[in-house]
Amino acid sequence: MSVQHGSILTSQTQAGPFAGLANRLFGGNLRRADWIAFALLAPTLIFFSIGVLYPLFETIRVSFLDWTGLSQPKPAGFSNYTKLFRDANFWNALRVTLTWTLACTGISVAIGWSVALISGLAPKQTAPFRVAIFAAYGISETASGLMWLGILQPDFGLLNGILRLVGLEGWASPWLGEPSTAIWGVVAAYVWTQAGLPLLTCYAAIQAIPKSQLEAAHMDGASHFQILRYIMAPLSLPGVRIAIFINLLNSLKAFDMIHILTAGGPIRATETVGYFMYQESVIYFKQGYGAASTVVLLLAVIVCSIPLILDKASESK
Amino acid sequence: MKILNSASALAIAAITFAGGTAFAAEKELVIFNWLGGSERDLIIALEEGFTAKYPDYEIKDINPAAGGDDPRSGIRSAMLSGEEFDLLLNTWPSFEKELVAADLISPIDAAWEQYGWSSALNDSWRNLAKHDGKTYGAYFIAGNRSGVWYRPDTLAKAGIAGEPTQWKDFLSSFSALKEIGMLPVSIGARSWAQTEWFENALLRTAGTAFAKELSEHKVPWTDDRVKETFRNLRDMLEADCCAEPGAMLSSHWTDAADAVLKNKKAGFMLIGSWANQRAKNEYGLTPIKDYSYMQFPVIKPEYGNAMSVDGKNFLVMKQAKNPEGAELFIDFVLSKEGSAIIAAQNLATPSANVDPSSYDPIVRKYAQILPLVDVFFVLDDLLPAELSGEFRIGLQKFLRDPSDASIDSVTAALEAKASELYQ
Repeated sequence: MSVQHGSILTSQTQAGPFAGLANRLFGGNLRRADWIAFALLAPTLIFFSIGVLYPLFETIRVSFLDWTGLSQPKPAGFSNYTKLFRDANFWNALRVTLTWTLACTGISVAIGWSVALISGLAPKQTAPFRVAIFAAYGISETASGLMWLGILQPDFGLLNGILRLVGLEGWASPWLGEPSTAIWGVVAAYVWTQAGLPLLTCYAAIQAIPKSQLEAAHMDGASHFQILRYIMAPLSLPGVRIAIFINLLNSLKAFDMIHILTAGGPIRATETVGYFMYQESVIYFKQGYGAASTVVLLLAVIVCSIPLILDKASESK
Repeated sequence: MKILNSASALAIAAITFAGGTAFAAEKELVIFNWLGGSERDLIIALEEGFTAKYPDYEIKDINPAAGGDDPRSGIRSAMLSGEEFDLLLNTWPSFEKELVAADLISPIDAAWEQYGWSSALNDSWRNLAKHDGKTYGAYFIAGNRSGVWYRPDTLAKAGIAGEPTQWKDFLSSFSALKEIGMLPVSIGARSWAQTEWFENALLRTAGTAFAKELSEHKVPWTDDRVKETFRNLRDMLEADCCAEPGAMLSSHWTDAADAVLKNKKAGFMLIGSWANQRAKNEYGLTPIKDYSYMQFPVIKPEYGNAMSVDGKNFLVMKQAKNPEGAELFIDFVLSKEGSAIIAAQNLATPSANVDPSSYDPIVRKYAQILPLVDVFFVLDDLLPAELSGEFRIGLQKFLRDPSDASIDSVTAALEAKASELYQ
C-alpha cells in the first residue's frame, strides 16, 4: 500500500521510504516536488562531497600508492596494507589505542554518569560541580594539555609537589617519562577534559525521568540509594549509551593531548593509531602508508559507530 | 624596502592583473624562508641587504602557514599545493638528497666557478652539498653541535680546575659536582637532544670517516664501533652522570639549559650553538664570564679533531623563474657584506669573507676553530626521517637500559630499519 500526499517527503511504501522516489528516479518520472527536494538538498550535497566524500576517496586512493610527496606517485597495490599489518610499531599503536580508548571512555563515562546520578538526587547543591566539570569540556585540549604538563612535571610538577608535601616522596615519579605511567598520565588529563560530556547527556536523561515515578518510589518508602539504583540508573541508560559512543569516537580521534604531553613517547608508549598516522603522513611524509593507517582508523571508527547508528535507526522506526 | 610579504604581493598582483604591468617587478626573486624568530630576522636582513645592493631586484619572502614539528612538512605541503619559488632555504642534507632524486633542484657548479665561491667556502663545506658529483647548495650559516655548555662559577665551586677536555677527566669531574649537590650532566631526551650525545661520542670514538659511512649505510649499525660508542656512553651513565631515565625522557634540551645555565642545578649540557642566544637573551647572562662551553671531550686522541656541525644553505629550484637572481643572492650571502650581516646576528658563517673580530665571543670561539677541524654534519639530519625517528627511540631505550643486551637490541633495530630504507 502506498500513502501519497503529493509530496516526496511523505511518500511511504512497504518497501521503504525511498522506494517510491527510487522508482520515479530510475523510471525517469520525477515530479516537480522531487526536483524541488533535490534543489534544496543540493548545497548540502555539494559541500558534503567537497568536504567529506572527496577527501575520503582521495585518502583511499592514496593508500594504494607509494608516494613521498616529492617524487611521482607509484602504484603500490595492497602493499601499504600488508606492510602495515607486519609493522610491529603499528601493532603497538593498536594495543595503545585499545588501552587508551577503553580507559578514556570507561573512566570519563563512569565519572560523568556517577556525578549525574548524584546530581539527580541533589540538583541544586551540585550545580557548581556540574558547571565546573562541564567547563573543562569547553577548554581547548591544547590549553588543558599545557596545564597538565605543569601538573605532571617530574621536578616542579604539582602532583609530585603534593606527594612530597604529604610525606609520600617515594611515590613521586616522572609520570610522563616512564613508559609504564605515561599512558595513565595522558589518560588522566584527557578524562579531565572529557568527563563533562557524559555528565551532560546522563544528567539530561535523568531530567527526562517523569517526576511521578520518583515521587511514587519515594511514597513507597524507597531510600535515596534505591531510587538511584533501581530508577535513575536504568532510566538514564540512553544518555550513557550516547556518551559512550561519543567519547569512544573522540578517544579514537584524540591527538592534541597526546601531542602536547608526550608526543607519542616515551618509546612509543603513548603512540595511538591516530598519532602513528600523523608520524607517517606528516613527519615521515609517507603519504600512501599514512593513508593506509588512516583508512584502518576510519574502519575502526565506523565499526564503533554501527551500534549507535543501528540503535538510532531502530528508534526512528 | 623592496621585500614583499605574501599579502602585499597578492595586492600588487591583483593591481597588475587589473590595470596593466606598471607594478610588475622587473627582477623578482621568490625565497621560501620557513624559519621563525631571530633566524628569520637574519634572512630578512640578508634580503634587505641584497635589495639595497641590487635595487632592481624585488624579493618575495614566502613563509609556510604551518609545518608542525618538522618544517619539511610545511615545505612539502607548499610544493604539493603548487607554490613556486626560486630559492629554498634548507638545513637537512637528507632532504636535499630527496629533492635531487625528485629532480626538483638545480646544480650550481657553473655559478660556483663563475663567482669563485671556492675562495669563500672550503671543499669540506662544498662536499656537504654534493650529490652524484654535483654541487647543489652553498652553506652560509654554520653551527657548532659539539659544545658542552657550563657555568665557570659552577666548575669553580666544585673545585674543577679548567675544562675537562679528556673523557676520563670529564667522567671523574662528576663526583666533584655531586659533592656540591649538583647533577653532573643534564640530558633532555624527550624528543631528539639525546642524539647529540651519541653523535659526538661516535665522532670521538670512530671518527668522521666512519660516521659518514654509517650515515650512508655503507657500514651496518651493528658494527662494533657503534656498540663501542654506546659502551662509552654507558661509562658516563655508570659514573652516575644523569637523572633517572624517566626524568631524562620527560624533559627537553630547554630544561637542560635551564638546569645548567640558569638555575645552577646541573654541571654540563650538550646542545647546538643556539644555546648562546637563549643564555644571552632569555637568561640575561654575559658570554664567557657567566657561561661558556668546551668542545666534546676527547675519547680517542686520533679523533680529537672531529667536530659536529650544522648549517643552512640555499637551493636553487628547477622551477626557478629567475635562476640568475637566485645565484646572485647566494653570492651576496657569501660575500663580505652578507657575512657581516650574519655576524651581526650572532651567528657564524663558514664563509672566509667574514671578519672574525665582529663575532660575539662565544661564536668567535668556535668560528676560529672551524677551518682547523674535521667537520661532520649532524648525523640526525643526514638520516632519512624515518631512520632518525628510530634512532631517537633507540637512544631512549638505551638510556633506560644500557646493558649489552639492550645495545645489541637497539643496534639491531636500527640496522633493520636502515636496511629497509637504503634498499
